Amino acid sequence: MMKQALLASLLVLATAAPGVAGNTATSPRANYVLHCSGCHGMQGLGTVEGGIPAFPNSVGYIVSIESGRDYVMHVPGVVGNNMTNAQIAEVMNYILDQWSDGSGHFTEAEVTRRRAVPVGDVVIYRRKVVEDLRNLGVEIAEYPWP
Amino acid sequence: MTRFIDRFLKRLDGATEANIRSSARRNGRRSFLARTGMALLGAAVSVPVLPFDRRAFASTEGGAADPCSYWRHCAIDGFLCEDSGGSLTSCPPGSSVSAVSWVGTCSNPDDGKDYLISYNDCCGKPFIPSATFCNNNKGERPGYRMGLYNDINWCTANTDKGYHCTVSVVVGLAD
Repeated sequence: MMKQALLASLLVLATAAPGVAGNTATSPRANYVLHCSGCHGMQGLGTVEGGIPAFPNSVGYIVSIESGRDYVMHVPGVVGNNMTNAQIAEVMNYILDQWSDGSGHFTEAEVTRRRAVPVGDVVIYRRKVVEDLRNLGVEIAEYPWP
Repeated sequence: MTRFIDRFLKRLDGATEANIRSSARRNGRRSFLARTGMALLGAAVSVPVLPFDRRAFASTEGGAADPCSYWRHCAIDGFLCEDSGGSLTSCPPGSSVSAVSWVGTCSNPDDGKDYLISYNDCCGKPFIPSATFCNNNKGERPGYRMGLYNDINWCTANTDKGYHCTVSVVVGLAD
């Protein structure tokens, strides 16, 4: 808890999925709370100081383009948890239902396929996604990465 | 008809008087008080007079010697806030709750259900070395499983990053 570490590494850790004490939850809502809410919050608003992006006015646009759908399958919360691909699809769809209009749902097969796509540095890849959206005339919520 | 009622009342008077006289011969004047007192004393000994709920003290279950064994602390890694003016769910005065947290699942022995517990750190004050430190970490994985790693200062997303203590807040059912 109190172990000292470099601020940079802490910030990376802070964006990782929160811990899971066993993988007992089965509902998408409970899995969101267990695996995502520790950083993104119960309201999906993230934190500016911690560099955690908010979902409203953002996640729905991101999943509307190809690069964005690859991106969300490589965010720290998805990479770092121990859910199955089917559970990841359910939780992602729960997020889309809660903080967007519910369109752009994922299937287990799509999650499996997109998780295998290499994206490299996910922060740099996000900037590409934002640029792709900007070229389409869509401006999403600001990304509070320092 | 009137005579019939008169006769009935006379008989009733007689029976009542006979009963009272017989009762007065058998029982002393103070026996009523004595029996009532015995009944009250017996009730106080055998039945709890005031209602009470043991769950009110559930946070100390497991014995004062081991407060870390309380079920909500199953995945905690930190100092208990009770020792520095806070509580199971609230940060001590002068500290602020962390914006990010570790979330785990703990089973409540009272109802057998699994609950989602958010372990928020309280930030902005130095920790107290003599406070109770609990290192349960149920479900934690080593650092190479970064998303399942709890050995982190969760104050990192706050302005004041100093770690003080950790609260255990129920945030939902793990259904």
